[in-house]
Amino acid sequence: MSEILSDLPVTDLLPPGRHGRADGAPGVIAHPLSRLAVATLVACKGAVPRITEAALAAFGVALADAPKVSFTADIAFIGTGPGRWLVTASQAPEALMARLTDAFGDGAALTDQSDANLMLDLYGPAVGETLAKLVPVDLDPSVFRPGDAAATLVALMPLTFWQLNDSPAYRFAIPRSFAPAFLRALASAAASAGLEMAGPARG
Amino acid sequence: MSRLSEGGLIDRSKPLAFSFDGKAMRGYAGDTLASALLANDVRLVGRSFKYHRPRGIFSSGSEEPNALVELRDGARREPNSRATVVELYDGLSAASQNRWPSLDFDIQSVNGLLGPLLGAGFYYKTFMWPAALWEKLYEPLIRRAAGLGRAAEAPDPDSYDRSFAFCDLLVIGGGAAGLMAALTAGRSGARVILADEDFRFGGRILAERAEIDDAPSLAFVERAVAELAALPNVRLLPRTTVFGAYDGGTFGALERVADHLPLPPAFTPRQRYWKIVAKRSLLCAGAIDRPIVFGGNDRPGVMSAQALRTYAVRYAANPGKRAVVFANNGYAWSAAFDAAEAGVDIAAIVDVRPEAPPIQLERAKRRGVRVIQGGQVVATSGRLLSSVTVRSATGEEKIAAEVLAISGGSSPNVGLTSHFGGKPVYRADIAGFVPGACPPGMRVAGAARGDYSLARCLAAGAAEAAEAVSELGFSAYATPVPQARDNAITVTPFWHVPGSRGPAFVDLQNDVTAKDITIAHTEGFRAVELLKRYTTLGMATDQGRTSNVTGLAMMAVLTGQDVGATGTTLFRPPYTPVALGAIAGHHRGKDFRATRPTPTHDWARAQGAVFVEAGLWLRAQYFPRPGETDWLETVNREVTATRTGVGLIDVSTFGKIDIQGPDAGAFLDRVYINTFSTLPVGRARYGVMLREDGIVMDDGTTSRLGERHYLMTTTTANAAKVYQHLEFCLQVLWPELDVQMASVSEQWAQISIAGPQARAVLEQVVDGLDVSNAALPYMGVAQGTVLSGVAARIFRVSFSGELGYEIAVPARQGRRLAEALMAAGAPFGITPYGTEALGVMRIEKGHVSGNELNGQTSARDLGLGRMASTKKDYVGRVLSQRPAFLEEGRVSFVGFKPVNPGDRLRAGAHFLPHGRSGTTANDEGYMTSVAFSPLLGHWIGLGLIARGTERIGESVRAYDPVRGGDIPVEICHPAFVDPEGERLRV
Amino acid sequence: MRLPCPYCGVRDAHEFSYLGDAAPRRPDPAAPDAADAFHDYVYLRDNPAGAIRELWYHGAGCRRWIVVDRDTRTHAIAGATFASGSASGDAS
Ligand SMILES: [Zn+2]
Repeated sequence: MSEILSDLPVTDLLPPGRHGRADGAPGVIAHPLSRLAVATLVACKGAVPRITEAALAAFGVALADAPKVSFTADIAFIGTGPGRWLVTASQAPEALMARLTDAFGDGAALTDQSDANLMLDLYGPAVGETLAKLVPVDLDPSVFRPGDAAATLVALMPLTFWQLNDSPAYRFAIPRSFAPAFLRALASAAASAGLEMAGPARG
Repeated sequence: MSRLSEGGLIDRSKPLAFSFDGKAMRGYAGDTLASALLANDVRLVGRSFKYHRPRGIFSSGSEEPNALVELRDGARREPNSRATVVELYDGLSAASQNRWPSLDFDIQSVNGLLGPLLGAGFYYKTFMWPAALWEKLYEPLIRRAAGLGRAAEAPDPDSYDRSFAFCDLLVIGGGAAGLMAALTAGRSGARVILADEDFRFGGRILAERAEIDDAPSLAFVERAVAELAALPNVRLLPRTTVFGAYDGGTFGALERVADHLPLPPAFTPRQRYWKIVAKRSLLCAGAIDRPIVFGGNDRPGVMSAQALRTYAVRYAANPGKRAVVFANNGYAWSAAFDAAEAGVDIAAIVDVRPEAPPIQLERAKRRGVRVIQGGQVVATSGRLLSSVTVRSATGEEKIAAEVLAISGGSSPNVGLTSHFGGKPVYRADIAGFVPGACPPGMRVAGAARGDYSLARCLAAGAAEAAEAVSELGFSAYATPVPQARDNAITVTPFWHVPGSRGPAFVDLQNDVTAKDITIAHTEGFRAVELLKRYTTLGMATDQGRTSNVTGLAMMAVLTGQDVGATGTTLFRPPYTPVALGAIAGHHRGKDFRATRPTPTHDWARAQGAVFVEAGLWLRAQYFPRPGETDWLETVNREVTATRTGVGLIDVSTFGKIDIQGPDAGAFLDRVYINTFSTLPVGRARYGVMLREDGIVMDDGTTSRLGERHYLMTTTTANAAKVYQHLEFCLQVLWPELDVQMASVSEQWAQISIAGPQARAVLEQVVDGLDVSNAALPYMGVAQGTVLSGVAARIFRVSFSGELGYEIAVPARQGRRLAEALMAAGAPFGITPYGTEALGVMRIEKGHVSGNELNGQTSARDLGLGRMASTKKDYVGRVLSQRPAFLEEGRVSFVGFKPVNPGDRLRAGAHFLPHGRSGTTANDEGYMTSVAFSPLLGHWIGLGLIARGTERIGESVRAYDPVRGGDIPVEICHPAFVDPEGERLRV
Repeated sequence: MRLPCPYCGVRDAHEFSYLGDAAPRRPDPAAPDAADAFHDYVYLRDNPAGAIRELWYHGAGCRRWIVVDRDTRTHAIAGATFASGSASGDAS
């Protein structure tokens, strides 16, 4: 355990700044997003075709019923289960809920989850080796590509993440109460590469 | 110094200082601790486990049974480190173990005299009687006498990593076969991991003087490793032991990242635990030399022929001044010749075979090495070996030697192949066990399957890898197989020198002798698994890698069975010992598991809260104030303040499940014992759900937010379990229902305010919402905003029995809400309270909680039976009507108060009728929850007692023998406070 | 052990919870022999050495209940489907 982790209360979020190896460029950059609206979208029974059509019509999104990200410039749908998506957009939570309600009507159940997760982008030259210590999913570029998503167990914590680009960068949705523990696990895993925690995390 | 003047894969330009038992010594980079000790003339390295006999170094690999040492000091001290695999580093300090007062003079070697007492089955025989002495006498005695090293006493200061890896082909072992396999698969484009437990790839090539493609074989290794290192699809893992094969192509491996360094560099773990998922695997783990059993075969200086060769050729360390080789096979002859060429004085080769192959005889002759055919070593002498006695057709002869290199043939390293229960198969032609059925997707190549020829190892590695990657759809690269020449090796089975003198050891690590095998046979413990447990053969940390085959072959001789029919014991993970710290990774200390803070955690901490773990959650337990001397005083204040004014508690940890869809109401009717489809919008109802066996699963309030929209709450403990259960009902039982669920537990912070002044406080934070008793009655639900625009849900529910509201806001607003409520409540003396006060108030109110929902109680037991609808089916209905649940004498849920008001109640106390003894037959039930009620001024309890509801007013014994309690208590109604619920409705 | 989730792909068994034999069906609660039928449904299980179809819950993944074809002797897994019966797993 590095110094910071032995002194930091387990309930605190890792503070912004450099953690682990301090020399050279950071191997991993963690960037919390505080202004992202998030909602779950669950299709009613037999309504996946209808939801897919509506998504295309309202958002221009070709919705995949799979662990994939379907997105346009201002909204993303991340498959988390059959007929089930996490929707993210850079706007107010109420505004996203209103747009989704307009688009899907009673064909789907919607719930605001904007406060439910710590949304965290991870990237940097050592992001691959660092995530190999945390994520039990094969992230090799031949297997997991931009637009792929996975709900899985990281350091005993359930969470969802998806790949944003082939730099590579990943976006993690970490249940809010697990965020301190996740960041501790991240700090341990990234210690050898150096972690730059961009702040502030608690929005 | 016994360092040979030239040769070896050591870097003579990098001398390293180290110490053994405090004595300063020098070695070189490239040494192991064992090779450096030998080069420093250290031949006595440790004392044996049971008899404290002096022991030296037997092998040159991870199978080492003898040379176990304590490595490093203080918090980093690691006992039972095998000197043969410890890579030398500058400043290394090691100590011998299991000796006192010193290695040279060990007082307990007297145990050797007690040998007969400590023989086979001694645990079962010697200390049988009287049993009482086990704990006090025998066990401490045995533990002091028999033992290995001492564990460090301080916490391990180093860090450990874990990592996942995925590949097409995992190659285990980087010798001739493994390198060819990795090259072939790598060139084919497959993702390859090549792991080797050694710090240098090459396997036996590093220790043998051989040629590949007419050049020294080392050049082949260097070329291969360089090419593999450059391939992006190949990961090389030196210093990595694949220790276990598991289902689904999963392997556990331990990488010793920094064990070869004085200290791990900053931010570098000492070790890394790899969890490798491989589509195919190829075991190229080689083979080890097996000892021959004869009297005095454990003397320091007796080592395997392979070890002699390795120390001489690879490490340029001469293990002793003169060496005798004793074998039954040609491979040992090659070892002798290689050692001789490296500079070891070979006094003689003693071969049990009457006639060795002519080609070997000729090679011996050419080198001037004496050969004794048809010879056997019958005795050894010297505290450190000084001579061996050889018996042959010409009689007995004593030959001076410091080293006796023995080989009874090779044992393929088949360990991983039997991790799935595969039984190794005996091959008489090589007198060894080769892999039987392998784990799915595993192949074996080279010496690990009994192919000892270098040429065939090279070819087999390439061929097996090509087949493996072809199965995965790669077009296999046709790797040209380099040429190597070697002579055919022959072996004649030979296990034990009969009539030899002195104790003859089979298992050097556990001190199991040939005599023990005989005793086990005589006493009927003949099956291999019985032999193992009766004698402890192969049960040491080395899992008997050098002893199992010999031991069971000796048993086979005694029983007259052939070796193959006798079989082997099973090898299990781990292949070599693994530190638990490495498997834990960063999950230790504070990070053993995640800690989940509530949305108001930081605020509560600022208020001086004491926290308590509730599952993974950390919740405020109570909020002590200056001057309060114990927790009960604090809790009493919190309860009183809430009952007389207003209190506040974070209840965000309750599970919150959003349930929507046209069939949501019908669905809830099926999972709760009561009805929810009739619940009006804007109202909440208390619900109880059962397991299908009729036992209560969970309870909580569920609200109707819209025509087809409900919000369920669960207890903190059961949040995940209930969600899973609901998914089961929806997906497995009734997939026809159109219902959508989502957990919103993390989205909402939820704060409860309770007490007569709760409404007055609430009114100040809502944005113009009418929360009057008329607009928001008991069990009413309102949606709106608070704190000038924060979305909120307000539930008029109560766990404490007081007028209460739970206010939910988005999680990030939780702290703000808490602060606003505190400010609004200041004029009323609003008091934050924790889980203790909450518990007191729910007990005063007679509500059931986790202690009562304990997996044994039905709704009827808990007095909730009347809630159950008779007009519908629901999960658990049918079996809750079983006769046993409806029996007359069944327990029911009631309250208890002490007959003498000063008595303290204890949860867990059992109820007995007065005048009856404390036996199970008289047991009438037990106390589930207790609290001190500040309202009543005495302890109160809730519990389950036979026919409780009919016995209100009766006195029984609360019998608590564990804590010495036995007091009279009176059965009463469970609601001690406001049984009519008037306070809730004001 | 690794289980092939029809939605998420092959995942380590740590992500799943085990229930058991997928064969028993919840009996008709209105049938005259409901008490006996429920007793069997809740308590009686075969324990085959060999192929079995069993229920697993992918709690740390897509939260689908799946039916896995497994051989209890070898842990060999022949495949998995959504327990809801539909090919898409769109139970709701
Ligand atoms: Zn899944």
